[in-house]
Amino acid sequence: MTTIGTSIARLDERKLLTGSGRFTADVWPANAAHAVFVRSPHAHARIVSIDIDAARRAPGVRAVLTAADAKADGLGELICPTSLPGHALVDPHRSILADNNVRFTGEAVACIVADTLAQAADAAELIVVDYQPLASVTDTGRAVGGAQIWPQAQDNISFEWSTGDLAATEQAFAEAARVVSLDIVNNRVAVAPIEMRCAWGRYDASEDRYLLHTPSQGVFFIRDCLAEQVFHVAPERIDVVTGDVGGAFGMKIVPYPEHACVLWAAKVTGRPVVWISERGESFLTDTHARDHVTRASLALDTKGRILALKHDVIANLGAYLSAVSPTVPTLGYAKMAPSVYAVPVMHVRVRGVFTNTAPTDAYRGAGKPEALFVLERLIDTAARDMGIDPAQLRRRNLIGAKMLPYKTAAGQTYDAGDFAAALNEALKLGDKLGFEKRRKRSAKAGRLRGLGCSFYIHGTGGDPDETSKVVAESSGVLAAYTSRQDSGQGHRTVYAQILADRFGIPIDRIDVRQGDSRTVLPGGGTGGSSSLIIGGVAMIAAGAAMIEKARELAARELEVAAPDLEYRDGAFVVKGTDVRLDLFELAARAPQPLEGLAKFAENNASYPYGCQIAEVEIDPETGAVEIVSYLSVDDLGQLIHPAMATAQLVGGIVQGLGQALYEHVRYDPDSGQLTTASFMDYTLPHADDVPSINVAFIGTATKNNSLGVKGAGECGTMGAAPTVINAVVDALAAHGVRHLDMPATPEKIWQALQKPPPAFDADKA
Amino acid sequence: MQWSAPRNDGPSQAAGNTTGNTFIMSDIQYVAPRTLDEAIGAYAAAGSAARILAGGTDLLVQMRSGAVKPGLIVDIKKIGEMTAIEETKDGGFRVGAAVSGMALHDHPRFGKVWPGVLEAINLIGSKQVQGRASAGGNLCNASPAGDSVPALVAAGAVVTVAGPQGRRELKVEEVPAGPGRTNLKPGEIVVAFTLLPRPKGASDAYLRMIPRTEMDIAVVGCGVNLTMKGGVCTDARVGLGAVAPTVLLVEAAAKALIGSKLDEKALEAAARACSAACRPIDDKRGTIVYRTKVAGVLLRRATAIAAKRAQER
Repeated sequence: MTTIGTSIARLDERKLLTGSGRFTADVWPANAAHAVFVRSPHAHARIVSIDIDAARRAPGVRAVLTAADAKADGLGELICPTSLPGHALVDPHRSILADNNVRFTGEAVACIVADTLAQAADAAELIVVDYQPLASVTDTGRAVGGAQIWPQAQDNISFEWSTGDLAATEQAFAEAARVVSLDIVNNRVAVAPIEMRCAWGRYDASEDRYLLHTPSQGVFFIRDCLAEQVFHVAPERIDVVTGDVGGAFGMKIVPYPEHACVLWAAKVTGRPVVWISERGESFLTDTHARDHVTRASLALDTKGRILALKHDVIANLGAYLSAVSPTVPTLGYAKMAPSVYAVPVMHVRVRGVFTNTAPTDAYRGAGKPEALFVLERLIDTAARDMGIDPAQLRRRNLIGAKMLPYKTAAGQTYDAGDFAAALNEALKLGDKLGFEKRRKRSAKAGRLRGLGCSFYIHGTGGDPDETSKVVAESSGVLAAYTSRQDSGQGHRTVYAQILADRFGIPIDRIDVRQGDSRTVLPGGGTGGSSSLIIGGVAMIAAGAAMIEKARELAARELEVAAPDLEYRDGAFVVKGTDVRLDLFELAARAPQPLEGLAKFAENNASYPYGCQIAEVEIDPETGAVEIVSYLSVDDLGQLIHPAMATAQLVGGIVQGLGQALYEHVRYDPDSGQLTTASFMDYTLPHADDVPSINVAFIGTATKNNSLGVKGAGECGTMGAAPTVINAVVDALAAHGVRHLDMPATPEKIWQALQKPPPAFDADKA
Repeated sequence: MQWSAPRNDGPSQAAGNTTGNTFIMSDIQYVAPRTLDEAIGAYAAAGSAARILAGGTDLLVQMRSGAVKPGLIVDIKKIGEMTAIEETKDGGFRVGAAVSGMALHDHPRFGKVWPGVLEAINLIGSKQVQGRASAGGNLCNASPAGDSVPALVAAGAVVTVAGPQGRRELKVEEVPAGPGRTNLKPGEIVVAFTLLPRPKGASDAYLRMIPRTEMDIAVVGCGVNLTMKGGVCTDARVGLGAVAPTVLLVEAAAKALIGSKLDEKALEAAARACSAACRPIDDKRGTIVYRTKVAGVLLRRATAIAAKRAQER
């Protein structure tokens, strides 16, 4: 009996809930030495000298490593392996320890390895770095023409990228009855996973092999970058293992200097070397995200129909190009920019800029939430300017179900969906008709009430390179190997559900294996909300290949012709008889492992979408906001495990509303110091800041993949920020507020309510 | 100064690590005396390198971040007087300086008599922190934003301190000297808070403004303590936190309330007095103009709550 569409108990929940998970920081070898990094206290400085003598002589110290040692040992720099086709890009490369200059606060300058963590920390304090401070720039809006960070990057610009039809867009704007423009600052956020980055490395001199154990979103990308760029060895010389992972969200896709350093230090010292990030280090050195300054405009006709859309974006890349970062504010940003609306033409121009900040990179949605936020804010603003109900203006512009398949101005072809149905369901569940009554009731209690509505649509992507292997093991286990990597979502459970459904094997006999470059076949790992599509489809194909191979063997064993055998529920049966041979028994008799391989050969694109509605209440005397209701109506296609799909949406929404109301990575504009390096100052939403979130599904199947599923992971995040800000601005609109940048803190809201509205900039406060 | 990773413990035992990298305390002495005299002796002898440990919810955080490196830690939780809650026959309370928020919460009578003081103490940190955090520690940490202090100031609590020169009593508002500094003399330890018996019709309330709903540092905190008789306010005290280098006793606000029926005019005057008393700073948690305004807003709201509670008593 199939469990597809049923929320069965997660296969890993006992392990994870009882603290029996095996995270990297749980499994480092007892004889490991400890690495501690000396990090830059300056946002930008020249390193005049580094005195390591005292540290080298300190008790227990095995090695003190600097950029000079890296050069002497022939190690290369981290290079950004992604490019922007058709566009030039300045990649200054990143030395694994700062060489000559430090370019952001927290950048690693030296790596100390000692027998104990305490000894390494003590020795770190003995290192004297003579810095000559340089002028710095951290603010996105001031980066162009600000303090020069790289000589090769004029005006701090790494790239200027554009897409769309500029001439047609300009013409549409010239002829439009109405043009609405907004200047939007998309705030920088920290990923702040519960499991911080960490790594331990081992070097086997006799085999000249490295082993790196680290959380990741797929072991091969990190392995290949380290092998090719830093160690100049064949990728097979580096084994990368990932155990359980406590949250990744894009931040753990990429290689970091610490990965290279533990392997290098292991080779230098002859000992395994472990490094586990502190929370302060995590805030300083994990890749951050978002951080755009955007001018965007929407052209409309007299009826409110959208004629054209244009964006001009400055995207903060940080001090170095992290491995995926160039694609995030460009290809990722523009991909879904028209969203669910029939936008005839658009143009997007993006300048990626260097600043003296931690590098930015992908974070749940990777560019798409930024673009959707802009569009949904423009639509609400247009509706207000034109005196049209925002939901009505959205409805007028939706791509109709009958228009599908529909190719958007961004070049995506939406295959399946019913956007109007999602809107109708959301308005019904959200009781839009009763809102004015609720607004009046709130007003009586001295509260300003607002309703915000937004659509999101995601184009799932990720790296489609995947070869799955499925093995029927003689022990009675069906093992499925994938390059995709679970970081808490529950991959094992959904993969087991689809394999059980397809091959009639009990779920408890299915073992999903991931996170080990020695056993898993090379592939792209997790990203782009596509692990179920890519991993699932490839696994089923690999399982089918295994069954066909087994059929030949079974035919020989049973002395019948292969076509006379029928595979059913874990056994081959001779058609029309009760003669059967169990798959696993066959595996025990087989001369070779009973395995099948298959590459992913379907379309990784799917277009999950949804409509979200939030209502907020604002206390005008303090600016405090409460989200009083939140709902999301979503089309994720065929649901495999509704509870986990819901959990993905809820978690994503919380991350989006965190950005909308609370979260902001701030650097002091003068000193370039990170002023939000703890959970006291980087205000993630607490559980009681989050409303009860109501998720409802409307399903339309996609034919882009044989499972009929659409990606789920990034969806909630994409809708939440604009939904919340639209609600906040709706509550404040009667007081003349047209837009508020995130995070909409009580103070910012209160300031906006003061008349005349003062020019308040939280960053300057 | 180098920025380096803060010192921390190694991983759990699951890692099989036996190299002994425990929390680095090798140069720190720890004593847990049973009597106050012993504690004072040890504390005074060690001079400025010593720190008092009650719940440790500030001290351990400061040590971990490297902000303080004490040579001696004097744990006062083994001293009976410091952890006792006594209710006097006439209805007053004497609360040991190391009594945890949770112990006070569980006291059958304290919260009925001093609901504002209790809610302020119970706002320090999370539930887990409440099991340890004490009002004495909150006062001695001398943060302008300490949650329990404005409520204790409003309550007119008296602090007993003991030191090498013997015991003395101070008003709560006399203890903080500035951010992170107190008026305690060398070797002096805060022993207990005394709260006087209160008449019928008296109650209190504490409110704070924070960016989120829990576990944040106050942008403004306001404690109001009222005595009501026949609908008229006969006595009042107002404490304000996070708006000046120390927690303030706002006498002008109290004066505006006393003698009134807490009508709009009196509330407006008291709110204005609170705003006028503010000498806040601009920082990432709030600007001067915002803190000043919110101080008045919280005064009104805390007064309303305290008045309602007073009527019910």
